[in-house]
Amino acid sequence: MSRQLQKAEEIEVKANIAGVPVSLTRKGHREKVAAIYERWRLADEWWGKEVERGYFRVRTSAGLVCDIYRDTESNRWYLDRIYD
Amino acid sequence: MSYVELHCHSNFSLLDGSSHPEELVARAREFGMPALAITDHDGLYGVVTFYKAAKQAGIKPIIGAELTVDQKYHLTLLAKNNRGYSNLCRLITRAQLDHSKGEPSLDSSCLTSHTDGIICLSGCRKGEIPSLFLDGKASQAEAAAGRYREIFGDNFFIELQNNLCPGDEHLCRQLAGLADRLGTKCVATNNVHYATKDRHRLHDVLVCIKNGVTLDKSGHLRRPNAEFYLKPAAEMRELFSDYPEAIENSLFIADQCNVDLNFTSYRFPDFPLPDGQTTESYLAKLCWEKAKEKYGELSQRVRDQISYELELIKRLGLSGYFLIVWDIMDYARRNGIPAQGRGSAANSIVAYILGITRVDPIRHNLFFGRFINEEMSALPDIDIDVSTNHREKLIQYVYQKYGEEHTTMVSTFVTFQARNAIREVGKALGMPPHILDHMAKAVGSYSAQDIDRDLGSLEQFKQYVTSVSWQQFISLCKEIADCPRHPSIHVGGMIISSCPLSEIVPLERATMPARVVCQWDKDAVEDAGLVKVDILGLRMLSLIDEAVELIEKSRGIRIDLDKIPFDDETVYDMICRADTMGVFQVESRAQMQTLPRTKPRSIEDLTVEVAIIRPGPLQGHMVHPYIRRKQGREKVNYLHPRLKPILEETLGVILFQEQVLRVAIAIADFTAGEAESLRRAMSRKRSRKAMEELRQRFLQGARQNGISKTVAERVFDTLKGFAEYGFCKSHAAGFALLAYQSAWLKCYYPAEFYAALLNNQPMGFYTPEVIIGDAKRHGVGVLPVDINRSHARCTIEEGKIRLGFRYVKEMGEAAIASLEEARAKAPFASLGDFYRRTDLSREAVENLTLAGAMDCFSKPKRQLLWELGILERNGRDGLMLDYPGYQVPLPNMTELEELSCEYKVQGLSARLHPMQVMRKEISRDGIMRSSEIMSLFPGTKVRTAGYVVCRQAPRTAKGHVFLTLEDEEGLLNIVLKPHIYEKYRYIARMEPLLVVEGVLQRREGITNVIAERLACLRQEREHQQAMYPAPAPRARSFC
Repeated sequence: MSRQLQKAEEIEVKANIAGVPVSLTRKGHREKVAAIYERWRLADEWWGKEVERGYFRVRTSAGLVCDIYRDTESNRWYLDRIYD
Repeated sequence: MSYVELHCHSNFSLLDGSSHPEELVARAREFGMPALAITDHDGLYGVVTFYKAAKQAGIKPIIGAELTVDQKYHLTLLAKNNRGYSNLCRLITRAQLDHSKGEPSLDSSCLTSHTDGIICLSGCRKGEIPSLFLDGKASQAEAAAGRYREIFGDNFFIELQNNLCPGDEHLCRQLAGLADRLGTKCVATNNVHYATKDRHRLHDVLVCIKNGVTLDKSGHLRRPNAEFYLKPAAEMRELFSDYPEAIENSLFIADQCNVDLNFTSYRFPDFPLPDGQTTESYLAKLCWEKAKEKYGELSQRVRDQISYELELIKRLGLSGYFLIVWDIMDYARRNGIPAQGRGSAANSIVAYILGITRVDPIRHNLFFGRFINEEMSALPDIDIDVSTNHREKLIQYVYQKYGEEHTTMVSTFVTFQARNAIREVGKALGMPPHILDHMAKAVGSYSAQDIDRDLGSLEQFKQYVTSVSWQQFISLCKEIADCPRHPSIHVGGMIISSCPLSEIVPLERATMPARVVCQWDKDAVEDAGLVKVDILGLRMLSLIDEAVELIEKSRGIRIDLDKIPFDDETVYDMICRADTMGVFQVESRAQMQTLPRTKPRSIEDLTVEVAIIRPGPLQGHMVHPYIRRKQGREKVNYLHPRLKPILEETLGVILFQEQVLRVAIAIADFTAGEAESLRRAMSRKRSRKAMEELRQRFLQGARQNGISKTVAERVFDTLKGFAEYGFCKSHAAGFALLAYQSAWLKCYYPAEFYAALLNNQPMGFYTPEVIIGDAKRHGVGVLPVDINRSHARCTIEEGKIRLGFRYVKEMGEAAIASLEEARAKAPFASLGDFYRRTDLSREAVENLTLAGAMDCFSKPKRQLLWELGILERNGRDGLMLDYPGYQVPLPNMTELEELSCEYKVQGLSARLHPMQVMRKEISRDGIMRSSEIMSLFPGTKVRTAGYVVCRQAPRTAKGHVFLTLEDEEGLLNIVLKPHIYEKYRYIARMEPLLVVEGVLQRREGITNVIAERLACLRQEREHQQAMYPAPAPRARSFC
């Protein structure tokens, strides 16, 4: 089961040279990314307010499985969905 | 390690792919990709273009297609060799013909046959195996894979795609696992839909256009990201870092695919011959027999030419081709179908003798080498012009004679250009419809590339130009320019083949029932070396045919237009004073401005006339020197005496392609084939290197003939200047004959001529209402539609033209048939009688009334309409009451109202001209009629008004725009200089009735008004009404 956050929560992410997340910090807690299950990209609404995001489904060292993404334009990371 | 893209859509995946095949090839070349596949949906539309571009770029082309299977799955197929290519064509043909148009699908049962030489990839997400995985049906996916493996064996590969869409990576894992278990190789592809990333926007727009939605509402239909571009090896390796063998296998597959689209081994069908004859001997026999019919006693010159041509035709193996075309033309002749060969074929005496063309090459001094020569690599092109009314019959004959497997029509593609780009791209972007409509109507340029320059300069749209959304709109329109939108049948191209066509090119359904068309257009067909015969409809042939029939019916005379004298002074007088509306090829505004200066007085002169008034010759600066020399204002000279016999007929100016060839031969000893290559090289802007080589050869040949270098260089430069724009003389000669014949008919049988002209619209340069004006000015009466006397088409009644029912809106075939059937029993006595005895729609009856068809019942129109209302209420089976003396006090229609109604229901008026009606309301303030203006001195300031019948902005005119106005007395030419056009652009483009103020100009017998001010007539009318209030009743504006 998973739930999508009503509003994506901004988090701090450290990524490697290839742009792959290595660790994420949420609500003060920093967790390492233990595995990357999937990655995908969305690009939409280029005719209005363009949205481009790179998504990762990760499992952290603490056992949290979640979807995070990086917004290309702002270069910020967000937490989108949590899997229980 | 490199990579080859094996799943790639061009814009021939209609309304899906957004890059031209050439763009994909260019991109592949940038990456150093050694090979590239093309896999459009259910077709090989773009294959020839792709193949040519790839070969030129040094990339191996891989031919394939993405097929729809069982109406839901996708499957990627690639041809390994020519046998595989044929099988691919067959499979696609099955998919297309087994279902309705536009919904191709292959039954998976068909896959068991015709798979030799084909490599099969399991497809994109819509492939059967991936779909089953996505549906959670893993075991069914395995079973399906097993089936494909059985059919294709080692030629089956599991296709892995990772476009970074949600779920792609997981699906890859599942598919790779399956491949492993099955012992099948897998291969990576990128499901390419565009060459570069930025084109994903156009791709999204195309998806919207295809589904009729705006971008905002298309979320579920569009791809989630922009990753479907052609990717270089490095990017693909990164995406498939877990499956390096999938990348390797793309090269493995590419290596195995070697298709050669060279159809030279293909021959056109053998012609059924009488016993004991070969194709060559039969052709020769026909020629010598028929030559006597055309020439009587054969002179040495004729004999020599026939022998020469037959020999060359035999050597090039073209005898069969000539017999095929002869047979088609003979059938036409036997069945009264007016037809004539067009183009360069008319240079041939064999073609003339066989009745394929109508132009005598001896008499017109034509040149066979322009048509056929030793060095030709492609088949010659014989095109046939046939009367539009008979074209279908001729096409059916060809289908029947050669069989449906061996005959097909050629496609053409409707592409996105300015108008449809504006409407469709704009709609996808969610722009307001009324603005789009406005823009589409106001845009002047044809190409979508020029939209920003065109619209951006119009006042109405200037405000939008800087906005971001406008920029986006414009840039998308530019990208979509020339993209194919949907296929359609080419106007006349037919292919005839010896082997079944479905082995060479896939066939599909045309919109016309039972008609089958191939997936290539005429350029592709030509490049592939297939035999094509164009059977083109020419309305002038229908007009001439019908006029001759009308003359026979109305006067009992049977005219043979091939036997009329071709030197009738009266006819040439008419042509020289530019009284040529309706006359073939010489009726345009530009022609009318030139005829009084060039004064053609022979078929030869007409041949030149037909050839010179075209953008090419005008741009090439050939026309003015010729005209000046014809008028004696410039001396005729030749660069060298050898040129005199060649250029004498055109006063020393090179006008014809045939002359270019002859000059090269005379000066530099080129052979006919070399000369033709020279002409083509010059006309296609070949590489500098090629031109330089030709130039050197030319100079060398000239030197060997003792011609000085200076002269030789000047001749070569002249050739270069003219070769690009020269016209084919034989083509012009064929048209000149028709021009003369149509002029002769207009001169001596004007009523029948105009009636035929009205019956074969749309054609020519002028609209029906303008034609009617011309008819009247020539003393031909025009009678309105009459319920008891008219027929479907216009007819001749006591020397006048009786308008036909076809012009009235809502009067279709069925309605007319019903009317004629009832009328055959007894003429109609009243509106009620008519209403009860026919079952026409209310609209049709109303339109007939407004067009004046019921005027024979001597009641005003308003009253008839009121009666019609009552009849409608009582119904057809109601009481048979007429309304004899019941006068209803309805005011009669004013002239303006009548005119307006007539235009609304039939687009013209038999009786009234708009200016005639408006005249009273604008007769003040010095507005003059066209006849008054003609008699004034040049330099006079004039004010005039008229109905716009022609607007032209030729590219050669450097910003000048030309209008032709018509009033009740004739036509008047208006010239708008660039700054005047800019100032009054909107009015000039959109208003049907104009007031013009300007200065009269008269030169060489031609009168023009150089405009200084334009206004729309409506405004002038209101102005005069306000200034000079009259007691006349206020007229309503146009309905």
